[in-house]
Amino acid sequence: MAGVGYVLAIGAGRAPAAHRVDTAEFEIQFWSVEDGLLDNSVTSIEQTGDGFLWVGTPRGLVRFDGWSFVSVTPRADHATNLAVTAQCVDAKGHLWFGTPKHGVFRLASETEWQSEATPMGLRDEPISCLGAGEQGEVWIGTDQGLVRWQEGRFERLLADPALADPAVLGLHVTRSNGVWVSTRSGLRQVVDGMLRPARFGPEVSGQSSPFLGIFEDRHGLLWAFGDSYLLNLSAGRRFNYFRGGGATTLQVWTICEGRPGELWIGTTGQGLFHFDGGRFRAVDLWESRDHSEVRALFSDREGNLWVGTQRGGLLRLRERTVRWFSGPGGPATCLAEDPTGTIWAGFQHGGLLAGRGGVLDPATVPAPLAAQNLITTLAFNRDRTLWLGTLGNGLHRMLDGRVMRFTLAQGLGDDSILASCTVGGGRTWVSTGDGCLHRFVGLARVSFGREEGLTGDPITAIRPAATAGVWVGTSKGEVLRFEPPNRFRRVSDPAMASGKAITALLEDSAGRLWVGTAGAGLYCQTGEAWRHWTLTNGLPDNAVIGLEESVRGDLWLATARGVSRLPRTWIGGSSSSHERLPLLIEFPAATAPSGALGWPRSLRSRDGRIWLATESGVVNFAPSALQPLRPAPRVRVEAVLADGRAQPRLAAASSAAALRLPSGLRDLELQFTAPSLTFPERTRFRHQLEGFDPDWQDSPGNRRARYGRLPAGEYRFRVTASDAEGSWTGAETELALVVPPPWWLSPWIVVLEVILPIALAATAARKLSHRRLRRQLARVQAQQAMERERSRIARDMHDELGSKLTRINFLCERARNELAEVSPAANKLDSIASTSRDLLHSLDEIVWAVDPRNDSLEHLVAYLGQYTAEYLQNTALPYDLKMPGTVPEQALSAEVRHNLFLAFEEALGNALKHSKATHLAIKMTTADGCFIIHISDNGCGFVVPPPLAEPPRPPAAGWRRGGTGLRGMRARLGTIGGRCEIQSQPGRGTAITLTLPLATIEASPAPAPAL
Amino acid sequence: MKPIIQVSLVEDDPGVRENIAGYLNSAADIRCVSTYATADEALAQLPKEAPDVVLMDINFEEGLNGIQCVQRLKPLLPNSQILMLTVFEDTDRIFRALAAGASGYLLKRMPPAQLLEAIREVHGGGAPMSASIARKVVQSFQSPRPAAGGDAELSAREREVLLALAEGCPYKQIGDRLGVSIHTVRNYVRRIYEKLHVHTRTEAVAKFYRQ
Repeated sequence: MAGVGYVLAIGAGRAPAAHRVDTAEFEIQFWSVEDGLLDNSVTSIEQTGDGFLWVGTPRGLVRFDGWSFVSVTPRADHATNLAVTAQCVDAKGHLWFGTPKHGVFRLASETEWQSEATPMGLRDEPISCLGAGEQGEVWIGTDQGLVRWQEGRFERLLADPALADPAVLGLHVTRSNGVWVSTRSGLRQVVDGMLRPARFGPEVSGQSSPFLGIFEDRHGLLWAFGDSYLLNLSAGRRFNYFRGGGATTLQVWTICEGRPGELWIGTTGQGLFHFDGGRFRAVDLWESRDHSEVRALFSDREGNLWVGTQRGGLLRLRERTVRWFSGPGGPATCLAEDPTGTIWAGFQHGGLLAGRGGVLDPATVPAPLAAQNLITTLAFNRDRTLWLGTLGNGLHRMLDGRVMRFTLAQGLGDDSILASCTVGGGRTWVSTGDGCLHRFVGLARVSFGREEGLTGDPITAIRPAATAGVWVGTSKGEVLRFEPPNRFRRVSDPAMASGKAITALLEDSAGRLWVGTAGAGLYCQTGEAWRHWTLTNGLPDNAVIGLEESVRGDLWLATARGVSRLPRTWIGGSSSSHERLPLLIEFPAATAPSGALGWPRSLRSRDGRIWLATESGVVNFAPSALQPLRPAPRVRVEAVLADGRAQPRLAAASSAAALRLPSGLRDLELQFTAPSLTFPERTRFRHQLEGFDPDWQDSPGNRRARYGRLPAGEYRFRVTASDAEGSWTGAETELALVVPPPWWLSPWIVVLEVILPIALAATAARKLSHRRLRRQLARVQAQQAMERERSRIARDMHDELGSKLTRINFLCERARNELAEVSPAANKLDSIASTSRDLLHSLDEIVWAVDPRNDSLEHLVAYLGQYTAEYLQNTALPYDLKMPGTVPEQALSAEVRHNLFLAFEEALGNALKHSKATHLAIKMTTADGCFIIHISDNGCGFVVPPPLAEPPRPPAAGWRRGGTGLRGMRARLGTIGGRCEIQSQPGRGTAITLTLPLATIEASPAPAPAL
Repeated sequence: MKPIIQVSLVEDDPGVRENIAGYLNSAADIRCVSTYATADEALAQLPKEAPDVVLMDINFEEGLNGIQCVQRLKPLLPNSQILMLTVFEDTDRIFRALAAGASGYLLKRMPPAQLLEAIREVHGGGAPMSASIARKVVQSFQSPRPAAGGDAELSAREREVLLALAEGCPYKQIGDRLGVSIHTVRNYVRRIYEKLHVHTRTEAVAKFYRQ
């Protein structure tokens, strides 16, 4: 027996693999060679008492902590890893594994492997299977027969009658210490130290197929499995559900028990099956054929099923805690539970679905309801009356298949229904877009508005209060409480929620009021005081769309980033106003950000599940399954690296002895981990190097702690892991470290090392130029005043001048009609009418130019396009217009817009009036940071005069049209930092290119052109 | 014989109102069945009348404005076409009216003959969309919004038509480019308008949850 050290190869830390296959009930994740598994074939899986998972492969053994794989080699003289054929954990908790050529190995302690091969010459016998007995014995199946190991002694068992082929193919040790062995000659049982043929009752005698295996479940029921069947030996029942597709391709290979009464069956050829005591179901693991060969099954202590496959890697099946239902597509907007416990969901793009347990089907409702889209809210009365609100299409009430609709026409203040809720089973509150609330009892309606204390802002949230009445939240962030008989009292602070809509409301079982907002974070009122959390103190996102309290008393929040949980213990214990929320995202969900339609978007159903209406459908989960109460795993220090060199490992138990590090240490790294197989991503670590770190440090995600040059001295490294809830309740792991002082270290150098950095850290005071800031502020204010003035002018011209000119136009037309067909007065009236129309046209341009809303490139492009179409519409000149479909967002001052427009107008006018062209092409593009307008015709052309030598005088920014000609066009573009290029030759047409560099344009608006 | 197009006019200026009503009745195939001076009045009465086409001023000095009126009226009158009347080509305001459910717009300075033509076109299933409006529609569908998928989403073909319109292509050219008739292009535009309405109702939600 050789005691050997073992080599622990630590691969680069890697996050859990991202290959996820989701089936309805299980969340499946798989790992392969790419994730650090040594081989894609897995022969065996075991778990040791410390929580680690051990995975055997043909290329060696790996240890898995849920997060990364670590290759484990029993001793240094095996240059290559040993193939693993079988594993077991004996009664003392030691891990064993068997190999094809090197016998069996036993993990005697955390760091020591024992080779148990020598005495029986097992080295020459390929090990096929291992089994552990109750008294610490280990049964070893080889191709030569069965061997029993007990306290270091091996004993080979003889077969009676002798077997033609002694090879043991499988073995199973039952709780009552019965040992069942599969051989090619059938099933054998260990009786009185001999392998004897197994005997069963009459139901199964006569089975011709050789049994491959026996399995005893937790209830003590014996199961026998063969190539295509499963026999319950205790009850004598036979199942052969496997025979569906070609029996030759299928063989039951391994069985393991999951939850009580549940068997997992691994087959070769057809993958994994689930048997719940009466029914077999194939589990769809992955589309690939690689998962059809199941070689190993293991149910860990955390309740996960691990599946080892032939060439398909390692899989974990975790019971699905979160169920999604994507529905007909599009966001779900609201939820309600009817009196029978059925959950109903409304969808934005239409559709009303109902169902239980996460599977929703189109609800059987009359056609008018089924056809609704933009459903905003749902509520049920005790008598099964359904209330359904829509955006813009009123409120619907359905009872016994009859639908009534309430709209403006029925006296409702608005056709947009925003929220509803039912109180006490019979009173339904409904809010409308005009800011009113309505309470229905049956068909009788009482409406509430400003007179009753409402603010007049639309009410976006309604929730029953614990005692009487309701809580309501408005689109402006106010929360009010209804106090019977007819008053609303404001409970929110005046500046609360910064005017953001209230999107979630909850009064918890302790009477605290929780308020979620569309972007201003989370509030909680205890007594009269409000507490407030945002992104800066722990809230995952400032938009909260759902708040529910679980049966256990935890608070569940849905934000735009996902679903989080606030532990009950924290809520009860915390009272400080600014204590950071200990929130983690439990699972991501595309819950709608603010601006989302619908109420309520969260719901706790009677069975305790929490439901959410999200962007991608309906989500529900059982809070208790998502948050299993499980102690924090114990942390193991895996390696200590001093200046990059691994230090000899310490015996785990002897943490009292300090690890002596090299003197003059420059760099220290400690690597640690803890097994967490279900939610490894939720396990967090923190560490402290006593003597250096003043306090606990949050460990980085790679599970390492690093230190630079440590002064000589004694240290104690402490590390601990959180449980899945994030609390630090677990035991600490400690490691004592000593850094000896280097010979050259004298006290005065230490003094220098301490003092110098402090001296160097002297700060240079920075002076702020307050005068400059003030000047900038004044300029901004002047600009804003200017814009307001421009807006006012535009509006006045639009409303006043426009409507009066229109009136003149129509009055002329009317007077004209009253006159004789031809008369001088009639001609004058025609002339007045047409002049007023022209004037309207000009006014249109001016309003466009003045209005600051048009100060962007997009508006300019749209306007030029519209102008072109209108201008050329009634001419005979055919033209091509090409605009960019979209343009970059770019502010353009009125001056730039106006100059460019006038130059464009000039170019277009010239082409129409002077070119005698038969075709005109206008193309606008944005390229290389420029906006370019290209206007070309096929007309007579002309000799282009050279640009003036002296800088052109900018034309008056007036509204005179025409006449400025080519010079004017160049000057206008020059004024705004652009270029005007004109190419023309007599008889060859004309091409004008107006180029405006966008980068040079000031974003600040220039003064409006003088009128 | 073609059925007579029943038109209702909502306009607060009495002069303009009488004149337009006069034009309308001068045409053989169009009848102005009612006129209203305020949007509120129109909203109360029009659902009962259900005219074929409603001409709606965009600006009212009192009460609801034209856009708000369209927003409320359209769900009650799904089969009526609403044309906006405006003095200026105020793209932003026109677009909002179109998004709220209008099917087109008329400039008050249009010659009377064009006005009648526009009414006949929209009643016949036409869907006029100018380049500048198309650009606004493109932006609207690009803007980040909660909805994804469903009936408010443009199909690839509709997107193609919309982009061509936004680039300034006339219907005829778009038809040639896609190898379909101008009639088909018009149908696409109709559908774009319908989706815009749904889309806009969705977006209108945001105002209740101002961020």
